[in-house]
Amino acid sequence: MRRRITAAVAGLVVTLTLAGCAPPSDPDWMPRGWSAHELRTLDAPPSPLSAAEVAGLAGERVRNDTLGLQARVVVVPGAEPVSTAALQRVRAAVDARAAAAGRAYTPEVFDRDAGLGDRLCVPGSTSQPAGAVLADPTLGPAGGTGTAVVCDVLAAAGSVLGQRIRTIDAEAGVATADRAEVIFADVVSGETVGARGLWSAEAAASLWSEVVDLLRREAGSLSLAPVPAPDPATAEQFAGVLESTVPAPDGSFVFTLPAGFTAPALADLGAAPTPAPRHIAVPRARVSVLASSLGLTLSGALASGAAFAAPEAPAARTGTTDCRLVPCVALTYDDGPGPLTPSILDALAAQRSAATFFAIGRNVAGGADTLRRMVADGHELANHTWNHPQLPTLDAAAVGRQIRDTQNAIREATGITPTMFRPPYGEYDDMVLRAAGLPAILWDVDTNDWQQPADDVLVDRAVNRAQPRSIVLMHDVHELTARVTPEVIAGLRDRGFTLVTVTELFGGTAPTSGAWRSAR
Amino acid sequence: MDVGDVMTKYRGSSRWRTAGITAVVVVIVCGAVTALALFLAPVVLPNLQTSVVDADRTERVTGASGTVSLMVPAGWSVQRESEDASHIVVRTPDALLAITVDLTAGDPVTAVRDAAIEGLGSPHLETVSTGARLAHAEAPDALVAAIAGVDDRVSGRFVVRPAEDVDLGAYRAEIARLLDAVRIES
Repeated sequence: MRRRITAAVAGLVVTLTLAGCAPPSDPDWMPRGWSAHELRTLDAPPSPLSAAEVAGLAGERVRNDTLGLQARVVVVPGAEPVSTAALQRVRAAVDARAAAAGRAYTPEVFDRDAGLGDRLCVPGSTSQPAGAVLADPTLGPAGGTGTAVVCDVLAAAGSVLGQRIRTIDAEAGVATADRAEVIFADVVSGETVGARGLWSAEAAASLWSEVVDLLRREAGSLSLAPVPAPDPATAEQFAGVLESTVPAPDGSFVFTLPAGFTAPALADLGAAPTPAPRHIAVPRARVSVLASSLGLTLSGALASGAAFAAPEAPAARTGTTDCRLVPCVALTYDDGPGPLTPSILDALAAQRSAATFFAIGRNVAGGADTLRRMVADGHELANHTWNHPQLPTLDAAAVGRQIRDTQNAIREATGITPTMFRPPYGEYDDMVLRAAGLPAILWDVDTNDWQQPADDVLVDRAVNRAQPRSIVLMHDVHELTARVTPEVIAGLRDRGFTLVTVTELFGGTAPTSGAWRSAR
Repeated sequence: MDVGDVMTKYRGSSRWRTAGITAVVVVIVCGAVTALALFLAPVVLPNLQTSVVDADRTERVTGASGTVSLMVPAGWSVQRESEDASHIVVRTPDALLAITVDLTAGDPVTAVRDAAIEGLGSPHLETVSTGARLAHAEAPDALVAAIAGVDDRVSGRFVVRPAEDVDLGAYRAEIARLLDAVRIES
């Protein structure tokens, strides 16, 4: 009996304990979050790239102290529409500044060591405080009054380049206007859009609703009801917010919601308008639904880790140069091609600088490969007679033969027919000009390199004497000339010059007759 | 007195002693069992009324003026005191969140306020996917939500209490899903 009672009590205790004291629990269970493609906020937008680390980019820089202007943008050699779109922003700033100052704009150059060879974007300059940009002598207008145009490379992947261009107007170091524009461009198709163009037409309304959904979650919402679509005016206003879109390395897109954003659903929750700008990341999965075709191309390239696919471009060129916007100078080399010419071509290519080569006809056969490289690299080929005679001492027929035979040789070797000639020793008269049938291109800066001066003397002559639209005479048959060419190019660029061909110096169309010492 | 008388007397006293000891033991055991039962009852009995949901299941709580039905996800547990209980308690599978569901008269804002939770903030109004009005407010250690039925005459009320040191924020999406599937019939 006693045993039965004991057993019954023990059984009851065990049963109660097992059944009741151990409530059902699965410690491995995790509560589910909100929907899978949710937006998220970031502390900061993605950092801009260092343009120097992106192969295939080049910089353009304009400094003009007369008007109070300094500008930098990135261009893509071989993608003319893309470069043009960027340079249009500089042109607009120049025109506005000229109008504000009531003066015409003329490209300026500066003394050596001006540092203007550094032309790429300064990373972060489009997000720095305006005061810091204006105070930076490499970015702001001299004296703090004028306009600064700065740039950042936001993305460079696959065929797409993204660049933000910021324009700051200032008086005495204080910004009076500050605006930024983002340009995304496909270097293959040439399509250029603003940041808003990375999104489809429907994206603004959809993203507005998703942003409201994100913010209402933060405000404590418990509703799963879809956020009502915005009215057209609100959607259009929000589309402007998408102009701030910056791609992230993982293919997601980030836009910045300005302070003061609100919506009825947020007001109902008692949420105040956003007190500060918010950086909203749209995950790639959502981007793939809402992006435009260009946006999809960019997002896909970023997600796959594709490098920037710079288009093929002539080695010596950044594109068509507008010598009304940037100070230009034409380096010219006479008497080649010769054994030293390739090293000069290397130096020019290394600094993406163009030159014009006045070739001697009798040298063409031995230097045909070099001539073809000149053409491929984007230099200009011109006629320097067959064997370098003093043309005024010849009769018209002989002058004609000197020019014609050289034209034929160059055309046969390269397929190019020169449109200008240079009379040996700079000697010409009316008979020579008539017989040649081409414009005579002379020079206004004679380096006298044939006199074999010291290296620094030759560099000084070439660099310091040049003015905007100058033509500089050198010879690609002297070792000294070949040796100092890298320093000459760097020195000219440092003063602010862009090195162009003679034809470019004349605005893209060479003169058809006459004799010219410069393009001024 | 002979030996036989002595033995008879001894046997009689032994029986009484045994009976006394037995009675004491029975009293002690019964007392212990009662004490144990009293101690365990508040914990044990509710759990005896708890079942774990194998697959998503609709639970109903019926009040004087209507019925609130909710979809309890698989893995969650439901504690119901009786078939016609005026409230139920559902718990997340990790048992760290308990939600008491009942039906109250009046609009959802009133239903939230009437929960009489200490420190409860002002209710916020939203709508759920069905278009029904949802009011909710939070206290330091609880969240109260109520969903309106037709004409706001009755509301389903949900008092959410997380276990100590549990972040309610991690469970908000689950709570929202639960609320979104609620239907009120009056």
